[in-house]
Amino acid sequence: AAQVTLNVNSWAGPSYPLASQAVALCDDIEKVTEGRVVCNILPKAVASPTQTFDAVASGIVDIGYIVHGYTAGRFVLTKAPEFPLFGDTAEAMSVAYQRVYDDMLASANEHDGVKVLAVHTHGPGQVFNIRHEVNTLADLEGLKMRVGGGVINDVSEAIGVVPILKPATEVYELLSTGVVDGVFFAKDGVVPYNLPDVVKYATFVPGGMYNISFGWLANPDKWESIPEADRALIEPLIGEGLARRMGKAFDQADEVAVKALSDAGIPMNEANEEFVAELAETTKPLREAWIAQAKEMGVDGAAVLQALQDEAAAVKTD
Amino acid sequence: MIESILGFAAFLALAFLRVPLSIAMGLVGFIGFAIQVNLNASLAMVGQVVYETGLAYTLSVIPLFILMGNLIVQSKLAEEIYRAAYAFIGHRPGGLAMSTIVACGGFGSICGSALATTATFCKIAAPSMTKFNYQPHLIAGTIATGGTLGILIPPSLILVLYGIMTDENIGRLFVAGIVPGILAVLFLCGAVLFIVTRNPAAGPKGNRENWDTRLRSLRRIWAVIVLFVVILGGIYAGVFTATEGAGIGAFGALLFAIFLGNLTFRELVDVLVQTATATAVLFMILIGALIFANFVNLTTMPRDLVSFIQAANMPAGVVVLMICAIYILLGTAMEELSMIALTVPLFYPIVTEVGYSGIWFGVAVVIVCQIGLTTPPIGINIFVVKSMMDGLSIRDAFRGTWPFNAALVLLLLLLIAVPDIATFLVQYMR
Amino acid sequence: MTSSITHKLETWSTGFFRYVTAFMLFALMLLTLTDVLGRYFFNRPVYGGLELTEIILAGMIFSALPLVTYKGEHIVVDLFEPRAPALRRAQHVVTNLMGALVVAVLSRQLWLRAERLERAGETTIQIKIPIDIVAYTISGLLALTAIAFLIRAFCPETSPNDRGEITRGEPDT
Ligand code: NA
Ligand code: NA
Repeated sequence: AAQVTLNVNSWAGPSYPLASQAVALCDDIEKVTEGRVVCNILPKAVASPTQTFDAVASGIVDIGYIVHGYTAGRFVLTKAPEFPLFGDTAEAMSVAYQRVYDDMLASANEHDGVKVLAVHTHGPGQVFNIRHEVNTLADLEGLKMRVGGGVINDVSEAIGVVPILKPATEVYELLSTGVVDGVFFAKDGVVPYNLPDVVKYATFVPGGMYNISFGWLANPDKWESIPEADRALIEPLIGEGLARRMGKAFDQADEVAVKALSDAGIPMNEANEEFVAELAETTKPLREAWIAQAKEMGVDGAAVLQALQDEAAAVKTD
Repeated sequence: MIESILGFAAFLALAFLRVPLSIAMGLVGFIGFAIQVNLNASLAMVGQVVYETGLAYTLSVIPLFILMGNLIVQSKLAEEIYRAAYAFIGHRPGGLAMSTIVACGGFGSICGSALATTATFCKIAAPSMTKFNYQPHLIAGTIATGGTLGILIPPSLILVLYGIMTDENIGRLFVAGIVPGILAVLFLCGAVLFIVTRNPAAGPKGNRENWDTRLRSLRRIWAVIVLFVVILGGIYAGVFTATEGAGIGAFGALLFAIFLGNLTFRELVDVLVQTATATAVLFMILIGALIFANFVNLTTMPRDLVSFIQAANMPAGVVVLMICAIYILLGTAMEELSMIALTVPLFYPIVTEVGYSGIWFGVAVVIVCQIGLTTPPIGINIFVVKSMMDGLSIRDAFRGTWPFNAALVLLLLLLIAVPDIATFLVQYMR
Repeated sequence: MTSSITHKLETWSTGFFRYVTAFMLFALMLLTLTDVLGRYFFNRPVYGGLELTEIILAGMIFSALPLVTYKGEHIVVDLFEPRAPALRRAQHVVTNLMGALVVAVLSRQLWLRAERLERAGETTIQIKIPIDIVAYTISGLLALTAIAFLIRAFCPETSPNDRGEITRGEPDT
């Protein structure tokens, strides 16, 4: 019989990679421990995205995942992977991010009060809109784009986009009513939020307009209550293992999205080199401001950004 | 399973001892969660629920829809609607009751709340029915059930909450409520006819109005139509979101109240305070229900219910029928907001999995809520009617509602058999 | 305390909360309207509209709560009432004490949460309002709500709608 039951808070929709991989991760934990450690994924999420960190820290639930950018001011260093043009596959970016996190970011202890199981990103963030084809950065100027928070909010302002902060669940309604002109979304959001029904143009930016930093957390006391032998068995499933799992899942969702968009006849174009160069140039002050912030926390931000690039290039994906 | 049942029993006991429902649910949920996990986690959980619910952007639509309804009351539009309905059908047997039902439906098209609709018609329709010697049980039944049309005919707070809980599009849910709402008006009028045929003394005839009066009575209905078209049309055509529709509707209602109802500054403050306090009461109920739901969430009950329903591998219609039956049963003893907060997350996945649409289920949930609002022992609409009609016995009040509830059950069965009733209009939305 | 002082205090404090909550609701409506109009006519929605909406909503609800409680407008089940005055009195005291206790615990939890938010330095995403201020305010208003329950429990003669009369201010379902 089970010796430890972990209550898991999963707020994402069931088809979204975060939720489906929570289930898969739980299955694997049960398998490797031969049923001694099991999960209880709560049928209704107890904590919302913004409240999950506190919920895990205070033991309301034992395991949960968060979006670092949903709570402004709390996390600084986790913005590192969110800047434009990080990379093209979620798997490489996630594994690189996890390694850099372990080496250079974890010691700053931004996740005080919880055990970090993994950090990762989704695929490169892209541009979807209902107005016109986007070929240059200037084409984006003045458009009202839905954002979820994090670095993309600052990026939007820097490039002259009107950022509209609304819950992801309203995206379909916002687009179909024309309340917003478009969304910055990773491709993985395309199918769950029915974008092929409403968007008219998709623009893919090599390296991504932005990214999002996710964290998987466990309540430290509960985690310690797992017998050491079993924790050792679980170890390969978390850290880089979990980051890779999530990266793969997001990459798969991205592929599905491209197919759905092309089935719906939505024109997809790739941003050209000028677009990319201009984006890098315009958002440079954002990186510099962040490097200054990181310095105050005793972290060499420039080195972190470089390490992310280098690691992502080095990660082997299949 | 047993923990949940004990929890429900404790909640009911506290409720009958007159502990406010929100406090009773919150207390039981808190203790239950503490037993299941631990005290510190439970303390953190209740704090989190309060904070999260109080700051929920999506819930901001609630006070705005309530405000719209309350301002409409100030502009005296409800009286106009009732007068028009009376002019056309008041002279028939049970005519005043049927006028009330029709007028409730009309008023429901601009007011999103069952209780506001009921309270309004207690003021407007009850005196004239009493004057024509209507029996108390028919008066109470008509107004209590007629008032529930406020949540079936859009705009509707219950549909808004359902949309928030399930991520279904609120605009589509509203459109789905239109045809079932019109059918509900007809079914409830049928219930009135059934009652007065068996017992003509229950609802005598009113005065017959001539065609001149009838046509004149329609003149001021334009304001209602304008508001309905602006809100629903705006959402239907995709001009603004449902959340924004609430704000715009409230502002439109404010203009009507100022120009048609001569709203004074004092009255405006009163309406705002009344709306804010009604919202606060509702949020307390929601907070209590969510705390309770978090406790039930940790018990085996959700899984047990789901596996019970899925076990026999029954056809879709039967599954949905069973779920509706569970709802009607729960609705007798629960406050409706708490009921949907607890159960929609459980049943929604099952219903959509067997092939009924999420939009359809929203309409079905509203109908079971309508029934629950007027069934004993905890029927909130009955309490409203009783609080506003002097000398009405609680027995009479509950006795008056059963034919209407039978009509609503028939409507629900029809909806299960022909789901398109709710969904066919939706497909024309962009 | 003379009764005229308590009376003044009552008029003043209920009046205060009435105007605060009314103002908040009015602001909520205007905010939505401005947001929509600004977006359509000037391509300029209200910056930080979402977070302002959330904060105003919370402010409105929790400043209405002491009022709701003091006036006994929470929804209760009106079915059974003890006949004997002594029993009725006991029931009244016990249920209001229970309310006071529950809301006091909530107030304490919000205070602890506010302290955590302050330490973490959490702000809103766009206008960067320090969010702990909101949590502290909610905590304070909940404390006042607990006091309102206590006043009802022990000084029924000062609070309106008492003695188990019919409760109004139903939730708007
Ligand atoms: Na309505
Ligand atoms: Na009931």
